[in-house]
Amino acid sequence: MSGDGPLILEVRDLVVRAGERLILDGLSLAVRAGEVHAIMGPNGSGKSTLTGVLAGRPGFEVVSGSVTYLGRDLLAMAPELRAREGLFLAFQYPVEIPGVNNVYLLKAALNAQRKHRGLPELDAFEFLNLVRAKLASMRMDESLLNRGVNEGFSGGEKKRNEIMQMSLLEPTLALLDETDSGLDIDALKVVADGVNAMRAPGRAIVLVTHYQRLLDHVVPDQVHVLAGGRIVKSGGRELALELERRGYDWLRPGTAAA
Amino acid sequence: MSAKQPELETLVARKYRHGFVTDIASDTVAPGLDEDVIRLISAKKSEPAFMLDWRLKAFRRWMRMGEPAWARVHYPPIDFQAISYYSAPKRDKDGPKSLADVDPKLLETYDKLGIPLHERARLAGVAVDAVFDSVSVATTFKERLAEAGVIFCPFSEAVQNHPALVEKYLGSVVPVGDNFYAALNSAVFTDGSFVFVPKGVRCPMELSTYFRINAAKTGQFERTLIIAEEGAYVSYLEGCTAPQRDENQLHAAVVELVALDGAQIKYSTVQNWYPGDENGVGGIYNFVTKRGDCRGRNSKISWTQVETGSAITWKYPSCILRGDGSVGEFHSVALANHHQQADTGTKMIHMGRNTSSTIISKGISAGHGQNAYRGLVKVLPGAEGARNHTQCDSLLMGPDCGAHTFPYIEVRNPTAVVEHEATTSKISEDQLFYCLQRGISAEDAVNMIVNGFCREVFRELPMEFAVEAQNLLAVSLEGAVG
Amino acid sequence: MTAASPIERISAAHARLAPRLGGGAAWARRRHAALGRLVERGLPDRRDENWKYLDHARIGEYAFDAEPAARPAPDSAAARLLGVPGAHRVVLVDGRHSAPLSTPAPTGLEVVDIADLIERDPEGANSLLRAPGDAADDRYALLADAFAAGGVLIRVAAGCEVAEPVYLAHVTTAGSPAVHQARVVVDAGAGARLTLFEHFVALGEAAALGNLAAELALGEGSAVSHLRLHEHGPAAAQVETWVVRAAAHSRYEQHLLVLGGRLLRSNLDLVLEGAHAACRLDGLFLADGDRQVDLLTKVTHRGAATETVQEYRGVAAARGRGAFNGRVTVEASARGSNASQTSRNLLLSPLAEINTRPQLEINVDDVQCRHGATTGTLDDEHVFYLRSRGLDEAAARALLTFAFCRDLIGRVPLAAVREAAEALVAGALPDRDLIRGAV
Repeated sequence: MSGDGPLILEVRDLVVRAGERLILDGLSLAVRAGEVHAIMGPNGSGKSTLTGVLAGRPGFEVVSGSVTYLGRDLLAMAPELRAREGLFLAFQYPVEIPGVNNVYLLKAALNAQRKHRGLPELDAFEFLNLVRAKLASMRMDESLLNRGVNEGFSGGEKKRNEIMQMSLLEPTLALLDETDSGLDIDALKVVADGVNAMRAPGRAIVLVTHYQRLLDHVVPDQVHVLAGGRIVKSGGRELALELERRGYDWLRPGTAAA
Repeated sequence: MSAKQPELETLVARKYRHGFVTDIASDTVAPGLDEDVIRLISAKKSEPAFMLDWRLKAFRRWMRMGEPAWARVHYPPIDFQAISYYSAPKRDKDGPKSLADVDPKLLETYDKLGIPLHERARLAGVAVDAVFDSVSVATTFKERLAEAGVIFCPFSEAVQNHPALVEKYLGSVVPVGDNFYAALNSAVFTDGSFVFVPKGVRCPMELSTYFRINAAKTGQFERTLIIAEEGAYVSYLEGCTAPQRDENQLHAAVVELVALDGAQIKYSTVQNWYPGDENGVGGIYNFVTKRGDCRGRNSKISWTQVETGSAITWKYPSCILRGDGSVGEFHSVALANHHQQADTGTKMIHMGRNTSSTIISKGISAGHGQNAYRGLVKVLPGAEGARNHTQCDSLLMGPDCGAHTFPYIEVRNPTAVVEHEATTSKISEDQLFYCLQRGISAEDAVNMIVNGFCREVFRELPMEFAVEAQNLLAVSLEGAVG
Repeated sequence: MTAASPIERISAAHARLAPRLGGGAAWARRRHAALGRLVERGLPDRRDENWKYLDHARIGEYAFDAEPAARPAPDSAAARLLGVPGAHRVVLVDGRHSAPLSTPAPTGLEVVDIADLIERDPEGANSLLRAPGDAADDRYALLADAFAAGGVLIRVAAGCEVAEPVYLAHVTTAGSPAVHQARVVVDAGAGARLTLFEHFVALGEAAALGNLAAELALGEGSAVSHLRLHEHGPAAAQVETWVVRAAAHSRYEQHLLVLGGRLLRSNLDLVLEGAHAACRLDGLFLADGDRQVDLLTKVTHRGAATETVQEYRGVAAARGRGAFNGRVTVEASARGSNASQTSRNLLLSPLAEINTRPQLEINVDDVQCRHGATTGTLDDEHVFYLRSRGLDEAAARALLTFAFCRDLIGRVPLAAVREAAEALVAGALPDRDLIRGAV
């Protein structure tokens, strides 16, 4: 099932603690260029911890294991460096940052990345044209640009904004944390179209989700089930459908089927 | 809405239920205070030399101090030379051996106050150390506590039997010169309670003391010292009620709590001293110093108070969060009706790393009552990761009362997060009307709403106290809504 | 060497200077009486509850006994002033009105040099200028009264809507250490409209202390929007005492921006006297370097159905110290009043300090009052979000600090002031180029 693109992300035996609690307990995962992986699991299985650790969110302690991103030790990199190296996290709960202009954040993020890569910064005109195009593709109103980051956005607007940022930053590895939660069917379609448009041979996408409905629109190459802090089963798209039918209980650690 | 007004206005002010004078001959020292009186008190209590020295040191400090003037309370000047500093019920030389030996009149007094020493205390599993005026007269459940290694006795007894503990801890939280009233207390206190819970012991029952003031013109100066050693736990309940008097009476207690590593002390108070009459005549002046020292790592001290009595309340139960990871809590309901004045609050001093504190204060003002919250949250430079959350809410009933909030927030560590919130409003007409429309009387509706307002604090009280507190609040508020 | 106390130096200066001040016997008496009361009671100190967080020793360093002679403002003064399109400029140089730097007032707006008024009509001036009381909070106003000689009276006729802002500049020339006293009186007649922009700037680098005693009366139904930008040099300090009285249905709005100077103590005593009077107070201070900012607001609701909204924000970085002491008093007559106050503070360094005292004193039940105060550092979630988008940590923190300030700056109604304030904040933060891009 595994493709033959170059390895983008390799997680090996990752054990992660938050405070006293062990959340990831020997998780391994390999993602290659061009692939879309879906990580599914019940609430509290460690899905958001995984994306958080990959993006460098503070508050987690990596007890053991390794994460290699494009051949480098991801865990040794600062969060902003990971971002500039092409790792993008679409947050499950994007924070509101009053006073920081949305358009400014986009510009600062894009230029930080370009500078890191030795590219010239975009001038205001080029940048605005680019952003306008992205906004239109996500069916977002231009007025959102001049509001604070996510400030006063509805749940759906926040999620679309995340995907819009992703399409602007063109990451090598995109992690989408429950991007489908809280979306109505129209918004889900817009988000799914945005994600599909991002599929490319050099790019890997990891979708973290509780339900399989996003996978009706974004067809994954591989589906993994996360439970008890590790991947307990992997398979193709049909695994997601089976999960939809049978729930997660049969896969919990200690259950015979696992 | 107008229908409720006449009904509410007809509700009459409630009279103090616990007003009476017990007729017991008192062994009272002539009014006035000098070093001779202090020597006399110390001698009458047969105290060791260190106690007399300590008292004299306090007295000398007190002589140089002035009464604090910063609180938002007003009262005529107190003549400290007109107060008698020692009185004890007359009794046989050796004192009562059991309840049967106790003056029946005294027991009758407790019955009237609803403090059933010989029955309900046992049923409720509460050990009662009753302080009548200044000398303790009866203590129960001593054996059970002794089995656990817990010392719970009158302070004077602790001075005799555990002088080393007293000498080590007395004044270690509230130094003799801490403030005017604490200095006075240190010089002249006659009795109080002493609790010592040794390492790793969970005190097997709630401890309780009922304080009262009885003899005329007798100031009362209680001294309480509670020590919880490493990993120990104790819950201490203090309830007060006082006979009706026309003359003001001074009460200046000091409570010191010491919590070592991992220890936890829960101190609950229902205070119902005589508040004075509807015109503000009489009532107790309650000037109390209460402070807990979270000396050990991960120790915890919780203060819960329901203050419905006294003409004047001046009281700031505080926590010094010295140990890393220590926790301080203050939960308070203060009610000021008629001409009562309450100036109460807390201090949370964050010294250790990752210390946290919570302050919840509910003030209720009615009639001409004046209620002030005064609090200090101080985060010192070394208190990395300190957290405080403060919520102060005030409820006003009637156009002539006042509710005031005076917090001080001083932060000197950039990793600290301190949040303070306060609201003041009158009882909601909408809520009141909703209840009335459902057929609930105005009085019941007010009680419901007020109890709801205070619920967060009542939740912190032991069950039997919570019920008592709710009732107390209800009777204290009768006739308050117009 | 033990330096003489400020009061001793003030007395010495008074003995030298008072005979030279104008206004004849009436004013000599008034100044003498003010000095007498000040000497008797002293300047406020740490024991005064509302002054406990102020660094009194730092104020004591200023040259209370120096000659506070006004210098002619050099032409360069004009260059330090902001270009506020259409504004009527009124300039005080070292506390004295400067006609050459000021522009003529339009109809309905009267600008009077208080020094002239004291000479011309001593009695009239005597009754016009508020006589400060003895309370600790009024003690610096008493100091200004003891040396009262100059300042400006700004009067808007009843019903007059002054379309363009009045730009009142306080310029300190300070070639050498000095203490300047100034008076400002603003009188907005019934139904008048005024936008008043006060700007504090220093030309020299010398240690100068400005002491301003000021009052503002809002007539019935008037509206005053009051912008205040403190942009003093690093050695300069300012103490100010504003007394504001608002009549029925008037609206007062203040935007205070403290972005410069070594020390600022600001006292605001505002009484909503008439029914339905309303005020909105915004305040922002940036206490970085070793700047100290100490704000006291006392708002009294006297009229029925009066309203206040206060929003204060403070940033303390490096060795900066910030204090906000805000008291809201609702008197028994102020039924149906609403008051809200928030004080949000960022503490960014281990040597910085924030002290807050939000206070409510409520004497009637028919009210809705609330306050909230927070002190903390930047939200970790916000920092992480920005880092996950590629900003480095220092830039993320600077940007969030800027955004914290900009929320309040954004409400300032004059673009020129907004831009100046944004530039001052950005200039104080790391990554200023990056942040300026955010504007």
